[in-house]
Amino acid sequence: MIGDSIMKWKQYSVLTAGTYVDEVAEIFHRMGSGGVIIEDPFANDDFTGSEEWDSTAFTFLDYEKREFVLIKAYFPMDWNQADQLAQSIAEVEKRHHIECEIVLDEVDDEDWAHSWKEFFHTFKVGDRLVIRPKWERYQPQDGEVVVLIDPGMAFGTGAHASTRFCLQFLERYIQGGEKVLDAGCGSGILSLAAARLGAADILALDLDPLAVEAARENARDNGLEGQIKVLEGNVLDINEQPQDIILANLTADMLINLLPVAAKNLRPQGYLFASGILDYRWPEVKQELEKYGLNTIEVLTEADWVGVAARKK
Amino acid sequence: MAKKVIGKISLQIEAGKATPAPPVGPALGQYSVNIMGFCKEYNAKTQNQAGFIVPVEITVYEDRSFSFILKSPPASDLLKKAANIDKGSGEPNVHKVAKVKRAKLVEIAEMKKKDLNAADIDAAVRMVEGTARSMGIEVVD
Repeated sequence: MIGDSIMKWKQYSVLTAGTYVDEVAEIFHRMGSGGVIIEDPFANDDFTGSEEWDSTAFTFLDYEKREFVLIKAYFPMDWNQADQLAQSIAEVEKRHHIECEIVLDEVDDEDWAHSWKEFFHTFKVGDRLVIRPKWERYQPQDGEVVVLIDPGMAFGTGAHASTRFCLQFLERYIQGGEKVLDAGCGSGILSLAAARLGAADILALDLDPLAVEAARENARDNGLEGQIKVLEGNVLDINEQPQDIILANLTADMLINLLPVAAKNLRPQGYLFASGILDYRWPEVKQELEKYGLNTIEVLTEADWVGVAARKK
Repeated sequence: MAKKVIGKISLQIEAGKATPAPPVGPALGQYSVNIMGFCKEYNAKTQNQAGFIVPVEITVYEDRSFSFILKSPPASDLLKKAANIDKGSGEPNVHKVAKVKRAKLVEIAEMKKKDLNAADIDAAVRMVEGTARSMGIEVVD
């Protein structure tokens, strides 16, 4: 979904015997669906009826058809290979002497793009920082710093451990007046928090135009567009030294690629707050940080995620 | 007390490439799960399997938090890699695109036996063979 426009999709559902799921899925993969949903009533057998199962929440497939599995794939409205699809499915039917059913529906992305918001509420990170969704009200307590956020379809609600790690580092280490580079800004949540906590001049970059759009809107909503400049672009092309703080909530590989640029752009004693690192990659990341003269000063962990605050020598 | 489960979602998507577009969007959106949160985790955990379809089974809890487990790539994907082709044939009956040795087929069946729900290795081999045939891949002894 881009902006407020609603995009429509063709949804093809194929009902088949469980044994042939991979064959049908392969047809969709070959036709460029970008993936499939598999609804298998047997998949729920191990937990339906158990104590953890909330039977009132949702109903699954029509249980009269429970020996069948539903495979769903989505295509843009101008996709025109329906005949080929029908032919490929007919071949599966012939090969295995079975019957499959193909159902075509039209769906729009309005519902699912926003449904999760119902469960995204105001929450506190660290001692002072409060993340408030745009659609909720909140009365700040003394000393609290509130960031207003509507992530749209961009990364960064602040609810994920990796984002929270960076927010905690910002709260702990920002003194005021810093120059900040946000590499892969997503919704802009880290830039917004940095600005609210006192950073003076923030450059937020993302390769995804939807993220850039969301980050700009969030900067406007918070009245911080004067402090935060949001650009679509690759952080590896940036040469804006010296930065006081670089924010990198990415993945281990992207972070390792960024390190030479980060080390060059940071001033001596400047901070790198990095996150999105899976724990099994941490030893490698730590070694790379050292290689580029970045001393680890704090590490946060939760489940299998690691966040690190490092300081340039 | 353990959190209540409200649903299970099964997806086949390409490693490292989950986006909020379908099928991820509608699959998770119907349970009000944070779609971007899932994409970030899935991509981070599958980036070392780039080029493969990595199926994922997602469990959704009452507070809309989720956990997931990754499965082995589908037989069709493993067959493509074994036969060194990008995609299967559009007309598998008339147009064969590659050959694989039966021994390789058995190897894939062994790897997939658990995920295929097959009663024994012979049944798993038959399933993988069916997939190969549906892709225009010939099985040779």
